[in-house]
Amino acid sequence: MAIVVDLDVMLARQKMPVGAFASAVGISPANVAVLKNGRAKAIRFTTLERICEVLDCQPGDILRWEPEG
Amino acid sequence: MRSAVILWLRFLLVGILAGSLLGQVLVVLIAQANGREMPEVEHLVVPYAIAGIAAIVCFQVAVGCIWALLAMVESGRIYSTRALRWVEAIIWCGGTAAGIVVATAGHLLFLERLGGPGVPLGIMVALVTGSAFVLLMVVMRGLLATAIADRAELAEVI
Repeated sequence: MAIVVDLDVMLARQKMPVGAFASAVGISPANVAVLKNGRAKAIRFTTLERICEVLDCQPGDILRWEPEG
Repeated sequence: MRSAVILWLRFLLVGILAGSLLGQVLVVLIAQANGREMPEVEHLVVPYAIAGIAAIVCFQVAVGCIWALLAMVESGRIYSTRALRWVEAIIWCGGTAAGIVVATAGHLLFLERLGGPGVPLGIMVALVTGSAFVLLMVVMRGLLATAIADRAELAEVI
């Protein structure tokens, strides 16, 4: 995937456990794992909004584009 | 989905199924009566009765498939590839029933050289309604397949 989700970096920086983050955002821990592993194919703007709210960051802090190959 | 609607539909399906069972008995009785009245068609009584029963069996199988699809709608599992198989079965039932009716009427008309003006009309009606039903179900099947694909894609959105 050319779009990288830097969620683990942000979570480590905030020292937030995955379970607490999942319930704060309102998604399942399994989906958090999907996001962290880079297996996510799409994310709702509402989810992104809540992630930014919980982590107090901008979408650019979580999402990054990397050239493929 | 409203369970009252499904319940009422199920009730009607049972009624339709019971009616079709009665129809199967009637097919045999009518065939026997025709055989008695017209001894020249007596050799057709058994094969035509079988054809009539078989066509109604197709109808009954299709009703059974609708029953299965209703159960899937009720439990929210209708948007899965399993539902497509039931729709396919309905398509095959419709095609087979229309085929049986057309073949039987065609046999009566062209090989036995019997039957009044109602027989060609019956062939036309069976051909038109049968193919229209099958094509409509194929369209429905396509719509269901699209909905299943959309559901699967949407399920991946976090």
